[in-house]
Amino acid sequence: MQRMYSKKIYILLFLLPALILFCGVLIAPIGASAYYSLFNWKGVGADMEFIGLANYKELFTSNSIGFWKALLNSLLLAALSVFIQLPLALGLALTLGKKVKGERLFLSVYFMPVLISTVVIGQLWLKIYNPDYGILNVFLRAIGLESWAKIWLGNKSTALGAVFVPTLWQYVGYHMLLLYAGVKSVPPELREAAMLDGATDGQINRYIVLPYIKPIIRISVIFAVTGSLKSFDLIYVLTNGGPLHSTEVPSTLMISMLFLRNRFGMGSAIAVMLILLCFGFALLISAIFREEK
Amino acid sequence: MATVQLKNIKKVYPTVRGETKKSKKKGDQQKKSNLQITDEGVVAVQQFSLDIADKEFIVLVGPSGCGKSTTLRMVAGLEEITGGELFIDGKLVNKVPPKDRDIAMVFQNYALYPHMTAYENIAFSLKLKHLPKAVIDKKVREAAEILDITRYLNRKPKDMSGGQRQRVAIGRAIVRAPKVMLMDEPLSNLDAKLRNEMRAEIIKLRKRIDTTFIYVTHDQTEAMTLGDRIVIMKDGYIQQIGTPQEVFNHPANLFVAGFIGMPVMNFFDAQLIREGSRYFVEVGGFRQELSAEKGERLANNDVQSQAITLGVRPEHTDVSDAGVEARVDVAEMMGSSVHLHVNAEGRDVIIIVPTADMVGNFEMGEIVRFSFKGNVAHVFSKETGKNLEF
Repeated sequence: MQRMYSKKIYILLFLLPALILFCGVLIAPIGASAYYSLFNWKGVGADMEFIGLANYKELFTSNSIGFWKALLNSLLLAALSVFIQLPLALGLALTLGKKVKGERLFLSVYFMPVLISTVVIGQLWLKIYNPDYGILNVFLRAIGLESWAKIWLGNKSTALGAVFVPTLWQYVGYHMLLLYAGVKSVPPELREAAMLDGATDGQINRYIVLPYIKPIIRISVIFAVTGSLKSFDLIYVLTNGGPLHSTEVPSTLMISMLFLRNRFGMGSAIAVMLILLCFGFALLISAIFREEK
Repeated sequence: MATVQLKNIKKVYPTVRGETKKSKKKGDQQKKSNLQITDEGVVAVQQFSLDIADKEFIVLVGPSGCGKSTTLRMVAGLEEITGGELFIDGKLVNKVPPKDRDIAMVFQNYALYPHMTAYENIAFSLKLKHLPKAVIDKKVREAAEILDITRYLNRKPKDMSGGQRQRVAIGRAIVRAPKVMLMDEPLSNLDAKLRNEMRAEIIKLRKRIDTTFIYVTHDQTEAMTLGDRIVIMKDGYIQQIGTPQEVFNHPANLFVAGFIGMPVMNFFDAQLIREGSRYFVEVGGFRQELSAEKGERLANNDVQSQAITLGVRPEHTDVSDAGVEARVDVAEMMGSSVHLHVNAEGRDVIIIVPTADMVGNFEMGEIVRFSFKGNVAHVFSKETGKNLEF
């Protein structure tokens, strides 16, 4: 066995299946996207024109593409996710982690939206937001706030907020489960020692539990930010980036470039930017957490 | 500094629905865990009454699952008390949360906060009290000085050895000058040498900080060396409370007799014979009169002649010309003495022979005779296992 491990060829041989898979489904498409982003190409046919970084230049300078607006929207979503969704998930995790009655039931209930197909959730929220029979407007009218009733998804000023609410709601349970696992991994003696040291529940959470689960909080923040940057499905179902690009995010923009406007090169450039952004933010968040350490 | 009174304390862990039936089926397992399962649930501690004086060092000792840690945790407030009353400094504290009991505890696995340095660990409770920084610093450094950990104060627990961690854990407890200091098997994670060192440290520490100690251990050596009084527990019940000398010299029952003392006490099936006010024990044809003191106690209890279990400690047996006949199995050379494992009256028996008294060596299969004096023979009831002198 020892001899076998020492021979690198065997190591490589056993790693090969995973390596092929990793390269085939991850590295190669990224490489291909980067390659196509340097061309002006419709996505079909051999009519490919090499234009260098022109797609990127246009992406950042052209107002009609709307990349900045899309990026800003996804950054806003990321900020809301970090500052509203995560604290909410953390609060739930800390509460449930304290042996609450019905702990398992609550866990399942909060996690349920993560398990449901996004399209189904989209349809559900479309019904909620429906201007005529949607429960939101019906409720507002019922309590005499008729003037507040709106065409939530069709109005430029409300569409973004209306799209963000279900996006944040859907993944609260996911982050809660991650953080809950962390809270549960805190050895009970640490809580007990802190209790005997005179700490209140709040102080135990602040001084013992939170520092203990910091690595998990970091992972959660990375997932929340990169997830927001990549957000696509729910927005696609609810508004498809509209009305008038008000809910556009880089992914919806990419899809429309690739398949509606047949600008495969530009779509690939957006894809590459998305990957770089996600990488960049993941590194930045890791660095911030490391610095605090 | 405080008195602690436990009055008829009981702890029952309610069984989860469906568990009772399962447990009843697994009768064997039930016996193994020494826990009693009743309709109320699993009984961990019962009828526990003890008055602990101010500044007393009490050791709770017993085998795993005897309820000693549960009792300690009830004093700390980490376990709810099912029945009975607990007083600290005369105040009923059954419902007082741990943080308001002014108690410090040292845990078996140290329970140091992993993200804090040793300094921060020790200072944590003082920080929560919002003491001025200078005061905190002074107290932490004093504690560190006592425990000789000043040079490790900036290290995190993961960068310290087991012994150092244990000192930090003790530092965290003493810095608060608590009313009662609780220790839950604090030395059991250390190796033998370090354990001996730390035991001596705890004795010194106790003199310096002068507070009430409740110490839990399964190690009878720790119990004997540290405790002012020892509480021996089994199956959730107190078996005996007494000074180390008392429990060693006058074990209340067979369990205590077997648990305290190393090597364990030898037991024989024997006869107790009463002749007026004099008592004799007879085993394997060897007859020994019990000391007057023992005889008096037995007479006071009006004990009659009967079949008994006789207990004699290995260190109280002497190889002699007359006595109980035994066949040598193994002779273990321990340096200052030889532990002679023999078979006598169908029982395995250990005789400790000081090497100074030895003439030649013992051979396997050799027949020897041993005797004992009348003041070191313990007579236990065959039925109840209780010491008939009590």
